[in-house]
This record gives sequence, structure tokens and C-alpha cells, in this order.
Amino acid sequence: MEVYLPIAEISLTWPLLLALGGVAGVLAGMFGVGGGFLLTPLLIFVGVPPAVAVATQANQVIATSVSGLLTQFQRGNVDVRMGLIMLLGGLFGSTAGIWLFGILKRIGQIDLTIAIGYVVLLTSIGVLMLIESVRTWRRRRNPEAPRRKLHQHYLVHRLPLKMRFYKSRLYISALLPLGLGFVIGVMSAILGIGGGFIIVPAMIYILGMPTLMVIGTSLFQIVFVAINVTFLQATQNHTVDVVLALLLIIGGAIGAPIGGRVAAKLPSFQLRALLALLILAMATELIFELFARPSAIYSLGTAVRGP
Amino acid sequence: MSDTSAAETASERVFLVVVDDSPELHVAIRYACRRAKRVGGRVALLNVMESPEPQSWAAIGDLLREETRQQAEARLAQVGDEVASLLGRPPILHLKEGGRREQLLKLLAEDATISVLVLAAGTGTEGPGPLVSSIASKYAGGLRCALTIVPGALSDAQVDAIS
Repeated sequence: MEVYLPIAEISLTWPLLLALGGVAGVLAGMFGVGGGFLLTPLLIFVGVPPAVAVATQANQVIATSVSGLLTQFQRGNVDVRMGLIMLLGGLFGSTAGIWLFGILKRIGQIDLTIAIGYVVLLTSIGVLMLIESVRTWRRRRNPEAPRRKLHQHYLVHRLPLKMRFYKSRLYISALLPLGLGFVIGVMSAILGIGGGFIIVPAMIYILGMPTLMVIGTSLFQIVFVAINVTFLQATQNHTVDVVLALLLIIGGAIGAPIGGRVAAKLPSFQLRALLALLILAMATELIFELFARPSAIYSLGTAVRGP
Repeated sequence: MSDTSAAETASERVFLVVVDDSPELHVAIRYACRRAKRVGGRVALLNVMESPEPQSWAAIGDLLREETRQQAEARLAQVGDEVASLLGRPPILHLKEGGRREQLLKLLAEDATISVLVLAAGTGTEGPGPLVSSIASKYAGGLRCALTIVPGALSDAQVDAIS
């Protein structure tokens, strides 16, 4: 049952890896999340080095997002012009992120950076999700409660380089999608996430795009940035484990439809509260691992000389 | 709807047309309107919006559903205007969420006033369209109303000639 992961340099049982991919797939199907930010901590917990977990994760992101992107394309929900500008930012951002990843790896700080990054990411997402589900629950009990209106950002309309985006019915500065793409690209490279969690609300509330168009266009950006990340991680940092990626993707493909079916039957705000608690539990475990006294205080390894 | 008009529609024939984005929708609308005009009946329109996919944030999911609904309503209103100008009476509008075929069968089972379901058959190489293929074969025996299938390739004059 053991399978040796050549890049991660550890042996794990393959049913465990399939199951991890499956769990991420079920959650992805239930909540429409990419599953990436859930899978990385799980991989770290079973002993995969964080640098490998993150880089391999980008593969999983591609696998889960491509079919969604194709569907959205057919429905005409992709603003290609907006997507290409975001992608341009995303390619620069992810390339810069990979470069930073390489430096951190060489000085031996990449695992710590990833762990801290995930603690921050998981804690903020978990807390926000918890707040959101409590709010939904309150509103369900008291439907009269006022709903907040979306607020308009006026500052963003003053930036230069304005462009017309016909499909999204927008006339905004190209710097906005470019900058947004860049930031998500950096995160994508260092944390191995697609970034849908951040990019979708940002496109709605900061860019002001119609929601339907955001879902398709964000996938467009996510898929191509993840491809760039996988390619660069594999060639520059040698951290993509193809055996691991394959097992995770198979598990994910089995899990996602199951999650979709479960989601259709259960009340979503309770599930969401549970997911939030799960995310916070993972963050706590990561914090614990950061500060706990390791079982082996010293570890031996071959030092890699910098260039 | 007031009581008197409800009593009227009980005896009136209602022609139901399912709204979609196909080019042959226009043929079904024209046929249904002409038939309804001739027998003094009404036209009902059904638009089925897809359930939005689950979203990572509940707030985004709500926005998405709202937007999908607005689009579906706008489309229904647009087709409704076409019916009103052809028939001279506003149509009965139904907006549902879920699977197209499931919602159609449910509406037919619930609404006893519908007497004829009018579908237009697609003219493309991939067959007459999913709704026509399934309703006209597997589900035809279980229907409670009559089913009329209009070939999608008919011109306005041809439709007028047979209605």
C-alpha cells in the first residue's frame, strides 16, 4: 500500500492520499471552493514538506478549475478582455512569487513562510465564514433584519488608464484588474491556492463586475496562473511531485460530485459553520506545530549552496 | 388574478410555451399566439432558471441567485412583450428554479388550466432539442395536456397557414 513520493521524498500509503484528495473534492463540490487551501494543511499534517505540498497543490487547482472554466465559456460568462488583463498581472505576480519562493527555499525559510501564511489565511477565512453563517442564521430567524447595501468605491474611479469592458459593462482603470491579478498571482505561487476565495469578492466589490461574469472570469485567471505556477515550480524549484498530484486529482474527481449531491440536500449555513470550525481547527493545529517542541530536535540534511 | 378572471380562465384554453434562447422559440410563440387568438385562449410562458452553483461565500451565492433571477425575469418580460403584441393579451408568466424538464412536468401536473404544451423542434444536426426528445417520447404518455410540436424551420407565413 505504500507509495514512494519521489519529490516529497517520503513514503505514504496511497489510500490515504486518495482519501485526502477525496475530502478536498467533497468540500469543493459542497461549497464551490477550489479545495486547495484545505488540502495543503492536510498534506503538511501527514508529513509532506510544505514546499512540495504547496507546489503540487497548484496541479490540483488546475484539475478542479478547468471543467468549470469550460462550462462558463460555453455560457458566455467569461469577460476575456478583463480576464487577459488580470492574467497579465497574474503571470507577473506568480513569476515574482516563484522567484521569492526559490530564495526562501535556498535560505531555508520557505516552510516557515508557508506555515505562517496559512495560519493567517485560514484564520481570516474561518472567522469570516463563521461570522457569515451566524448572520445568515440570524436573518433566517428574523427575515425583517435589514440587509446591508453594497457600497460603491469612488476612489477606484479616479485611477488613470481607463478601459472599456463591454461584457462587464464597466469603464474602469486597467490598473485595478492588473494589480488584483498580480497580488493573487504572488499568493498563488507561495501558498499554492487558486485564490477564488479572495479574487471573487474582490472582483465584485472592488471592480464592480456582475457576479455571473465574475465566476467565469475568475476561473479564467485562476487556471492560467496555476499552469504558470506548476510549470515554474517544477522547472525552477523542483517541488512538484507528480505521483502525489495524480493521487490527489483522482481522489478529487471522485469526491467533487459526491459533495455536490450532499450540498443539494442539506441546509448550507449550518454546513458552512461546520466548515468554518474545521478551517479554524486546522489553523490551530498549524500554530501548534509551529511552536511545539519537535520530536527530533536536530535534523540532518545536505546543505545546498546558494548560487 | 381576481375571481372572475379565474373563472374565465378555467374554461379558457391555455397554451404553454417554454422560454429558452433557441432560435425556434419564435416559431412556438407565433404558433401558440395564433392558436390562442383563434380559440379565445391565453398563452402562458415558463422560464426555468438554473440553480446557481455553490459559492465559497454565502453572500456571493445570494448575489448570484439574485442576478440569475433578474436575467430570467428580464427574458420572460421580453418574450412576454412579443406575446402581448401578437395576441393582444398579456401572457401568464411562470418563473421556476431547477431542472427545465422537472419543473415543466411539475407545472403541468399542478396547473390544470394548461390545455396544450407547444414546443418547437430544433432544426440543427443534434436533433430536435433535449426537451422535445424527452417530453415527446418517454414522458408523452404521462402528460395531462395535449402536446403540439412545431417544426422550428417554418417561416412566419407557413406558421400562419397551419394555425
